[in-house]
Amino acid sequence: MIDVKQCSLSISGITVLDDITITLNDGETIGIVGKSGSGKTSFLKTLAHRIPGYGGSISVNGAPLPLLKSALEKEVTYCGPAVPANPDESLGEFLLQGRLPYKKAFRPYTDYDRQTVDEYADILDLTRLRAMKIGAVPDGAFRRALLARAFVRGSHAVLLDNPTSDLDITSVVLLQKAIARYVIEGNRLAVVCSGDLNFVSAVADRVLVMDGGRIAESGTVDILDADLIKRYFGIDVIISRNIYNGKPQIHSFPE
Amino acid sequence: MRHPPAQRADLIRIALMSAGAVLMCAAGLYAGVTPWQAAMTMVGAAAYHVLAGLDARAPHVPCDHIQTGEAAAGGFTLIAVTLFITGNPIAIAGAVLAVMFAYQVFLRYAIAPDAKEASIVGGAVQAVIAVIIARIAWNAAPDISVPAGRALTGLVPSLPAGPAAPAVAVPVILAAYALSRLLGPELKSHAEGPEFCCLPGREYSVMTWCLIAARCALVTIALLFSGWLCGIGFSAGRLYRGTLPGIFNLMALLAFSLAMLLVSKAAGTFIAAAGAYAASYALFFLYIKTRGLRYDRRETV
Repeated sequence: MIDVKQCSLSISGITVLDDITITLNDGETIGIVGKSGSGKTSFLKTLAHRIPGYGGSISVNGAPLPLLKSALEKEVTYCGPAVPANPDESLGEFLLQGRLPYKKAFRPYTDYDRQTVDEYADILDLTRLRAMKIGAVPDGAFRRALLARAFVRGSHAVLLDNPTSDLDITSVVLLQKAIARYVIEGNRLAVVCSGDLNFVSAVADRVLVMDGGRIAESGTVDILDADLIKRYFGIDVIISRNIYNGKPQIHSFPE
Repeated sequence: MRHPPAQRADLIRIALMSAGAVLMCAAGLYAGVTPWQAAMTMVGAAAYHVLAGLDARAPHVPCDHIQTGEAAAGGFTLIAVTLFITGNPIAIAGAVLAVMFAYQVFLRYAIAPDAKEASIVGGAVQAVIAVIIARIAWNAAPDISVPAGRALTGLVPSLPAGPAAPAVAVPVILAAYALSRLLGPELKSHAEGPEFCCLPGREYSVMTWCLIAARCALVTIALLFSGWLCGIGFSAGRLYRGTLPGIFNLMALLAFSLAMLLVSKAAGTFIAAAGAYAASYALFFLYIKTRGLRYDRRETV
């Protein structure tokens, strides 16, 4: 559980997060949506302790975030669009590094570590690419590898920042499966920040709509209706229902 | 990730390279190289091999100590201290180590070149130092040829045989090698950069400084024990695509450095150093040209 109380953040005099109070529960998948600049990524990075100097408090399972220190890696994992520095590393080794916080110094990885990597590599269709070097992996597969590495960490909460970028439709479905497995298997928490409203609708149990650094709306995915989207995104859409899961399906149309 | 079993062709290549090293050693001894000189050159090559292994996980430094300018800076320090301060080997070693550390700090934090710029910065440093040394030699005030020769082929091989120098260097090399193997996953994670390193913040900084210290120590040993004679390790190791690259790289380094030692005996120190310098850059450009990966992803954060 992540407990956020009156979290505020300013960068260069600009209010990025404004008095956010929310509790994110175990076993949930939280979707965060909002226009560009609404504070989604900043909120995610603040939860991951990537941006210090925020006001208010954030605690993970009762422990204040700044005090977690070396335990932070086991509690919260942030997966954003960054690029690793070493193109010559193999994909398999790159995935295995996700288990490093659990590895004892001077000891090899355990069978459980390798088994966890095998599972998520299989789910995200990376098994055949494990021997390939990171620099040679196609962009879509590379994106899946970043996500797999985050899941492999097995931390209490995983924070996914625009996870569907560079993913084709097949990969998006695989990602949905990976998120579901991650959350259900270990009663963990997944927070997905995305501009893809349909993806958020498909995976989230609860949706937070951010606007101007604040959480303007929150509720189940059913709050994603035409009025809300018009109000916060400024576009007209038509909402239908996914014939498989009954969740809102957003259709935009040019004027 | 577990490595595939060694292929027969790779074992043959390694055997041939090992035979080459033995042949070069024998030829050198026949040509007048003393066992002490050959042994100390091999110690320098071993230090360089461990250094190449460390830097194989740090692609921001794709070039060796000649191309980064460290060899030039270390050699200049040796010459300057010998000419103007003292000929005491311990003092010279200390000065070279200190300069290597200062140079690393300068390179990483003041210049902070990216992968392409590292060799360009090194070239500029070499040019500046070459001008300074040429100026000193032009004035012909103190005789520069002896310390220059030591800078190029190693100080320790020119000293009387004794256990002190290898007794210090060999444990450092072995310790660095052992730690690099035992902490391999941590080093690989560190090489991915702070955004992806799975070590917490403070540990990342500590590891960075430990790597700087290890690099400085190993470069100092390589320079003092074999001078410029073994600068092919990085590119040779990365060009080799077979299994057991570590063993192949070590044998290649030993063979090359002993070959250069033989050349220094037959044709002179400066010819050998020039040959090693040319080989270093030739392999470097070959590696840059033929490497399969051009990492064109850019950070979007």
